[in-house]
Amino acid sequence: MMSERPCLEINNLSATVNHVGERVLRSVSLSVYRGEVHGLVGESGAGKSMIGKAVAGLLPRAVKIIEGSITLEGISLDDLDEKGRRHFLGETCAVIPQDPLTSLNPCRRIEPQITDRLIKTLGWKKTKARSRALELLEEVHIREPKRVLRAYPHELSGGMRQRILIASAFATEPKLIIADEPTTALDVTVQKQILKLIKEMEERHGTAMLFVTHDMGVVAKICKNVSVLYAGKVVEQTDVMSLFSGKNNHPYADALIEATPRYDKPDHSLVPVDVSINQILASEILEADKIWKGVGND
Amino acid sequence: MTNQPLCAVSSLHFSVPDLNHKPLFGSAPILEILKNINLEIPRGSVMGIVGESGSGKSTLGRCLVRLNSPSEGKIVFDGKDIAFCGEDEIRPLRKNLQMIFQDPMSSLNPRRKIGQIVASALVACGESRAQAKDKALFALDHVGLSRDFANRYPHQLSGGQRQRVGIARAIALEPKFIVADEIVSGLDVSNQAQIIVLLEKLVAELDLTLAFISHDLSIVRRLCDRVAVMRAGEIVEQESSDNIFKNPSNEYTKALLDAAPLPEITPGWI
Repeated sequence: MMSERPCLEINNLSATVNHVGERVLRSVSLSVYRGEVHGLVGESGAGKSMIGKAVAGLLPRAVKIIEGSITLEGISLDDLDEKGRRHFLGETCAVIPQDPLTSLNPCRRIEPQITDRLIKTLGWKKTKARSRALELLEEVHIREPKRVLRAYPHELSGGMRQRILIASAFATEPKLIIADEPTTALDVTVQKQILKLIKEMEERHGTAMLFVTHDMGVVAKICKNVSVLYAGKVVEQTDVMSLFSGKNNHPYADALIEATPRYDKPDHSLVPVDVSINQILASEILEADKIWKGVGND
Repeated sequence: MTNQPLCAVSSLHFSVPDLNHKPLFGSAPILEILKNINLEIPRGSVMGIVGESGSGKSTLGRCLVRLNSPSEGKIVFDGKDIAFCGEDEIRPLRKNLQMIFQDPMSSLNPRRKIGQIVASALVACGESRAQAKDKALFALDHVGLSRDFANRYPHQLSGGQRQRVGIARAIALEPKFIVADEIVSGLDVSNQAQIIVLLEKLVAELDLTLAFISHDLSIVRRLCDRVAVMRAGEIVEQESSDNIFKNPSNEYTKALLDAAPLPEITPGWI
């Protein structure tokens, strides 16, 4: 299995914000294989969404990639021109956005919002795209899919809208899906259903997945491997089994697990990430930047 | 202090006209949001209100501080029924009924400085400007924000800091009762832990009574003395926190507990 080519390979990726010299991604490397969910965890501002956006080519204009490479299905994204990249990404990669409330166009019915990509990127006929959309809605367990296709987003609940976004992400049978906090806006019962659904779809289609989240509980349930990020640097990269066995982890990874409240252990003392760990992290970041600047000056 | 609960709700109903199904002529059918709610919140306790979205937990919270007017029932706050009293009757009580909102970005005025935001509630309650300023700074101290935050704008703060401002605004008036509506659900774990630790401290120091609305059972377990589980506008189970988490009797409570992801590997959870 290990000799298999990874679906997504990120090598030494660094990015900066235009007018500030500081890096927002610091030499990030990771690879995701087919049928594998790779978790990206960290606090807000750690750059976890930034990695997903860099892959999908959705970085805000101010953020520039300054070094490193992203290889998707063996093709380096740098080798493609703007148009080629758009086509390639459109076919191989899809995003499940965080907020189902703002990610659907409120003025359009559900159907065109799912089928547009099929028609425009893949050149499908409208009738074929529609039947595919119906099929997908059934796959994500939406009752009355015909009615839902004709509905506007405001007529549907948050869970339903998130299901629609998942359905449309799987519509083109992408090789890689970037799920950017897909369950953060949902409550626990719906969250469980959605996680179940993502897992089911992911297994059925054999998709590789980057799963951005800040919830260690969710990581434990759905991911196979995980990268813990701090200030755009990967401080820990391991499989979930060893992450939650609590051995040989970076102290920050342990601190994040400790900071998660749990209902089965009420007396478990709830510790926000400690100052001493923040100091360790800060010095590591400084060290990494020094090395990086040294390399840059050569 | 008396043993009387600070806030007692009995057979509370809240309904709105269902405009989606209004016939062309005639009145709209009635949609019941809250059905026969009975709830007692003892002084100095933290009451958890949990349930899925759409179960009416926020509506109940807003009824408790009379941001919503119920259609039937009683809300006895500190010995006085506030369910149907008019705005001028409730105005003097507002000082004791505070609310912290879920989304600090939309509940803080983006064009005003933090100091002004916190002080304006005090001025509205009749404090002099100088006194309001002092108290606002004191409240900021209490929530762990240094005094120079008073001169910043909401957009210059991080999510956790903004939520602290929301808390400062509520405690500045030294209220007896605060409703906290999903105040940590938008924050990441570390910030969440900080805010929870802060709330625990404030409840102990300021002798607060808190209604904590959340869908995260782990946090509720941590913070609350009693828990009410809501579903479709009704309270399905109301128990002490220990009982409800050790032996949940209601099927729905069990399902909720089961759905909360714990940070550990459980094969077959999904």
